[in-house]
Amino acid sequence: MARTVAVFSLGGAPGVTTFAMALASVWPGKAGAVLLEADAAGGDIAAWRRLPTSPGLVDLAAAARHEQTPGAQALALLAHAQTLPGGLPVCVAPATAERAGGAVRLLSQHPRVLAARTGPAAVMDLGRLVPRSPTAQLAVAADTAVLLVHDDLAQLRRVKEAAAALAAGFGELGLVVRDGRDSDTEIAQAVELPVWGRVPTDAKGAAFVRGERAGRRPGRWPLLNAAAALARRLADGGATASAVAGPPAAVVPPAAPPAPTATGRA
Amino acid sequence: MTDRRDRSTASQAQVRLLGTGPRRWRWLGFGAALMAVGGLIAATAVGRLDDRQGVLVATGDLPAGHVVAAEDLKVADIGGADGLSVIPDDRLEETVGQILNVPVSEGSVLPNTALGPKAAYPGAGEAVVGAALAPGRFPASVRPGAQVSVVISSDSGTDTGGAQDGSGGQAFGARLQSFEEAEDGGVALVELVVDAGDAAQVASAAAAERISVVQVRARGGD
Repeated sequence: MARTVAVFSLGGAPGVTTFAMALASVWPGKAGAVLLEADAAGGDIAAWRRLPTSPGLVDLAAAARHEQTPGAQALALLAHAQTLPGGLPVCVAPATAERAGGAVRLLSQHPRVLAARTGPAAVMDLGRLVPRSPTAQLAVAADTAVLLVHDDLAQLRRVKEAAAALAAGFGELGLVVRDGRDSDTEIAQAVELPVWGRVPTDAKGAAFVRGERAGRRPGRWPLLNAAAALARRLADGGATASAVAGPPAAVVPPAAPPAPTATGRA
Repeated sequence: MTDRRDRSTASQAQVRLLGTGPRRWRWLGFGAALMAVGGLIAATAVGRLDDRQGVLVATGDLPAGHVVAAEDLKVADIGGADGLSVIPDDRLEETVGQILNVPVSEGSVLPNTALGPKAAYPGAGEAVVGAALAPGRFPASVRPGAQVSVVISSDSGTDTGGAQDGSGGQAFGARLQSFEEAEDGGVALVELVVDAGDAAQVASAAAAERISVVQVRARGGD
């Protein structure tokens, strides 16, 4: 069962923040999930939703240095989040890379605040992952990593070449593919990572997530529907088990967690 | 079975987010409409509080029979005049040119019943006679509207009609319509409303300066 999920990309702009926000907003269970915007390039959510940047990532990073007891660490993330209309708690990043990058670096040195075992799950929006960066260090703190990628040749090739290093770094890693006509199986074989879901381009859903339009049943829109499907799989712990990981003859077997179905359903 | 249930919950995933785009504008419009309605209500209430009415008031002493002119009238604003016999200011134009049935003193409100059309004055069976009275032939205190008795001295020998009194004079009931004292010598110019049948006699006596005016008690005051 995933408690901390990192969402990131390797290049392009596949909509990491939008997807991470959608994922957190549809996280199953009563406690739901809290969204941590830990994009070292600077955050968008505060501007989208017209929020102040404090409380937020900078305050959380500062608090992470001081909180020593596990209880205080567990509460730190929620304590520095702001609640959006609808009830989603969000810990927003400052808009500039200057301030956000510093906060991410500081937080990556004290990642225990992300490892709360009780309360809401944490969804981290990491933006673009650069090897050996503070973002990469922070990503390792997550139980599960979701790599969002456009279905185009350049992006998939980048993923393929980084796949081995990434798979070694994360406990669980899967792809979510944006758009494209290739089948999940083809992509999984090509990049040697399991495909956990597909997310179509959904202008309405993305505008809804950004707070630019209202909707009566947003859960039916493709973006949120895809996010909900992935959230349920991750929360149940059966992500890798039920995801398309290619045929049994996949070139490299996906990183299999120990008995995922058993632990997830327990 | 489980699969189907999963899929049905998938389409109705709980979303902990609200889009706030167009809805904000709707609320903004709703708020503006509410403010406009409130303003209208307030304006109506204030307008009703100040529900005063303009009524016609005499600018000077106006005798009975006076033809009302525009300069005789002014408009005064009073509140709560609904139940009173007043002439509202929107009837100003039709009031001008009408005739007063009763005298109205300066600053008084014109009663609704005080006016009659020109044709209705003098009333049926009445006649108006003018006369010049020498000093001593009228009480100095007499005022327009007073009920008077016109006494004709009998030195000319006329003795037809009228009430014969002991001194040989005749007396006719009359109403003093207007009264104007001339500056020189104290002669008073009066207009008398008399019975139409007596008019000729009173008029000829007046021409001969043989009449005196005696103030009597009004008939209605008996």
